[in-house]
Amino acid sequence: MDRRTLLVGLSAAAVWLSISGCTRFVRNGNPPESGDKAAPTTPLRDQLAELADPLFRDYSAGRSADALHSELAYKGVISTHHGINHKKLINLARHEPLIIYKGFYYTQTELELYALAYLHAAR
Amino acid sequence: MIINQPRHSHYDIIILGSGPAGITTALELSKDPSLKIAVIESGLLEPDPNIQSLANVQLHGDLPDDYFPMHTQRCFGGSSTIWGGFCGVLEKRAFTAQAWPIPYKELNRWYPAAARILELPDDAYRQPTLAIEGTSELVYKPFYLSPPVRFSKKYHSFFQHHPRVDLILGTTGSRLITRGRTVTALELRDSLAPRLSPTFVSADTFVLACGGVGNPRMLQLSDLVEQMPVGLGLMEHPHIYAVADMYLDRDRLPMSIEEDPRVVYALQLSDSYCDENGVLSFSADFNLQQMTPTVLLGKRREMLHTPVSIRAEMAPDFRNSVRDSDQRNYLGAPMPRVDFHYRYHDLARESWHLLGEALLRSGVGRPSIMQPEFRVHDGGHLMGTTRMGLSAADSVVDSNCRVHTTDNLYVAGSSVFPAGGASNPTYTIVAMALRLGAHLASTLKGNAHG
Repeated sequence: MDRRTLLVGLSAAAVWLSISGCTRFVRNGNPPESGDKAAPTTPLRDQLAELADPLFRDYSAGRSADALHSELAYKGVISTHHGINHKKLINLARHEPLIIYKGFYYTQTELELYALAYLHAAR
Repeated sequence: MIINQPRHSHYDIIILGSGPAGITTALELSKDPSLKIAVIESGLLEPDPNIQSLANVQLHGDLPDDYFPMHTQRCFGGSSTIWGGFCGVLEKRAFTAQAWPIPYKELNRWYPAAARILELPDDAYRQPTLAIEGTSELVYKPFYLSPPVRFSKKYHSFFQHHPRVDLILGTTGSRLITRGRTVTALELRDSLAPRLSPTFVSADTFVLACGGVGNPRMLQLSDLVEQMPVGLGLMEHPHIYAVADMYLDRDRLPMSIEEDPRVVYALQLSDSYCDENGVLSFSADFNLQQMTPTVLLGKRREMLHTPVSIRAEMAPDFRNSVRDSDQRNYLGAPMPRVDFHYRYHDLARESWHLLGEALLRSGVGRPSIMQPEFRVHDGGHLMGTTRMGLSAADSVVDSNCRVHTTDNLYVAGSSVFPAGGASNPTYTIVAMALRLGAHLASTLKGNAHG
């Protein structure tokens, strides 16, 4: 392989990595993050700690923190580095069906977020 | 003057009933120095149990047994002697949907003067509703509390000393005498002397201001029904107390909301939201007493936590009616029969769900579910039994409150409301009575109806 071929190959690889790496960014509206399934760090951790409430213990029962984290990250509602995307949460609230939980109305994503917060605090 | 029988055999105007509608009409008419006015009241200065029994009805349906005669006071001041003072302007939606055959401004221009009579702050008409940032589906609607004005106290001196306005007490109007399209006289009975023969008093113009049952009854007893829906379409304001909870983001509510003992705070479905979803006006009262930390749309914050009571509009339903019963009162007149069912539970649930959706989706607050079982209470508001409209086929009075089939008989009070909104009616009753008084004064001056 000559030097020119090597440079073309490296450029193509860089472009491919760039495009594929941006896919989640385009979908979520947030930059891609490695380790979204890992324990969150500031500011998300602090925000989840603030939201943690035993009221949501029942809703979190049988759910996995990692699964909730992935789901919420997929929806673009949380990111480890940028925390909770409140605008995204409000936008989702406009379209999601309402769920009754302990006598009050919630949107599904809201409840998932509070369940995640509870599970993190309970760790 | 306050007297117990007419001083004259003929008046320019006779007003039957001395509640807020009758007194307000008289106040406005009294500005014309050429008019000789009689206000005829079945009761006395203070309630009399015998006379009060004339307001009894044969009751069928959802209204409680003590509804009558409690909400149809037969004494000077009428229902103002017992009212709680809640005041709110009628929702515009009733007008834009053309249930009322007059433009909203026709009513709105009289609210400032009505506020002065009811001793309400200027905001009662200047800021009847306030927008909530971030939502077009909800509005903030304050209900202002009149002291409450007792018309019998506030205007006692007016009647006592006015040379041209007679308040005739203890005298029950039993029927109207007509010749063609003209009402010529009113038959009177002494309210406490049933054996005495009736007397008669004549007038150029007559105004019925006897309330939501009394007004249609006078037309029925006077054979003035013809094809008109007299007594049909009786409406109330369904009240459901402490039927739900809600959290409210205090910071999202208008800045002007402050603790004020003369204000009742409420959220309402906006008129446009009601129209889009095919529901009627709907108010959810809340209080400012308790702040508590909770979560809403991903944030923890201090929020108002308040019980919710509902005050709502019901549609006119001709199955709800006032008509003859098979019983008679001690004056020998047929007692009214009142048939009334709310049929409101489903609409209450639907409306609450819509309000809850709007609340949560806009981030203004979080609603609880409605209690699965709830009881609908009354507001003591009888409306719609001589409804206003364009023709005698579907209404009783025209846009000037004149009975369609007559030239000189008018109706004052909430019985003319073709749609009652979700606001307590007294403020609108007074505004409409001012409008009627001004109309009659100008009409009589021009002798338009002879």
